[in-house]
Amino acid sequence: MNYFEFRQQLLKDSFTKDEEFHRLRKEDLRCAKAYKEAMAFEKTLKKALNIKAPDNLKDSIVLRQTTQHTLTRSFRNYAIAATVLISFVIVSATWYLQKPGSIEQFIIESVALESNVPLSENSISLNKIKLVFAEFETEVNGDLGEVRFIHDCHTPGGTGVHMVVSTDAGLVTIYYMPKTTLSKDRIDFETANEKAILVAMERGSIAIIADTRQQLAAIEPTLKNNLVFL
Amino acid sequence: MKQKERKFDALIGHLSDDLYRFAFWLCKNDALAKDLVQETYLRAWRALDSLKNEKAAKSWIFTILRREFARLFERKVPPISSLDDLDFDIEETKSIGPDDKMEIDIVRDAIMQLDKKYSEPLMLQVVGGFSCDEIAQQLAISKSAVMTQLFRARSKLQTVLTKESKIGKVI
Repeated sequence: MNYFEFRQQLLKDSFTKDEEFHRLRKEDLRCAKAYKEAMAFEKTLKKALNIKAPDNLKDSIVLRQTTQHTLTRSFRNYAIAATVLISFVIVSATWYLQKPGSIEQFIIESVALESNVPLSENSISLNKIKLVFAEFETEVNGDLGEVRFIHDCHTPGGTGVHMVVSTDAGLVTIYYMPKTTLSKDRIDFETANEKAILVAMERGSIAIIADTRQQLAAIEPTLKNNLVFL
Repeated sequence: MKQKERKFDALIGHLSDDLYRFAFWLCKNDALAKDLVQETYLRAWRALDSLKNEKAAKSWIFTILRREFARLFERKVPPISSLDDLDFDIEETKSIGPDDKMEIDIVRDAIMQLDKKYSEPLMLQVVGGFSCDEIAQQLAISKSAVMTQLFRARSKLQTVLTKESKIGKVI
């Protein structure tokens, strides 16, 4: 390794364990000087990239895991009572989900909480959309429009898909809820600022939320025709 | 569940600050970076059983973060090219001398201008502490390509730093 190669190595990885590199660092004056300068630069670089992380970041992440842990421990401690309790919870949850209004309420709350999701500047590719729906054993057979946001999300009974589609008339929010069965084929309702519809699908249901009923009517057949349940 | 939680914490719980920093330099936005770290941890929690080599946990979760960024945020991140547009806690630089602070600001500004293909390996090396081999694996490119990108990234930063520092001193 010559001086030129030594300098190159400094720019690639100055913390290399290469023996020849370290020999030159100690024995060659020019290399030693270059190494000292490189270390000063590394210090500046480290400081530049080392921005302060939020104080409560770890706690906020751990909190969500801890909640699950607490539930688990409770179940373990009260094993016998839990059998009865779980049965009661399941029966109650089933009743609650079937009770008219509970799914609409879920959608109203979700829309209020998730109104500012990050939208992509361009349309999300059909391949990406297909990948998300594939997790729910659902095939996307055709174009769903200009999808600007897609992500899995919590829905009544399990995980589903939250999607935002951009149309000429504005944004349309869609929730695909594979585990949510409706008591009717369709339910019209309203959120705080928008019109909404729940539509029963071959598997689960779909909620569509938009400014006008016309937008809902326009996108409903697109979803019905292009989602195939495997 | 408790055992899984303990394993999760031990393997990757301590990496939140580094993940945030990496996320921040990817998004260049504090709120998005926090969301990205949160999403990354949730993905990791769900997929923990698929982690076969526990020694590779750090590399694994950084890869999850990069993929989550590409999947959720990359397209929507507003193009930020100046330090003035950055929203981050400058508290830690208050105790630094004016010359050092100027150098740090110059380097931060220069990092903003770096092409992603140069900045990403550099961040993985400096923030993540990964070796060139590990970076090559994460980015699915050859080790020599990683070294070339690191070489170019540092060269660009040093050139800017030398030039700007001289201007600063003249003024």
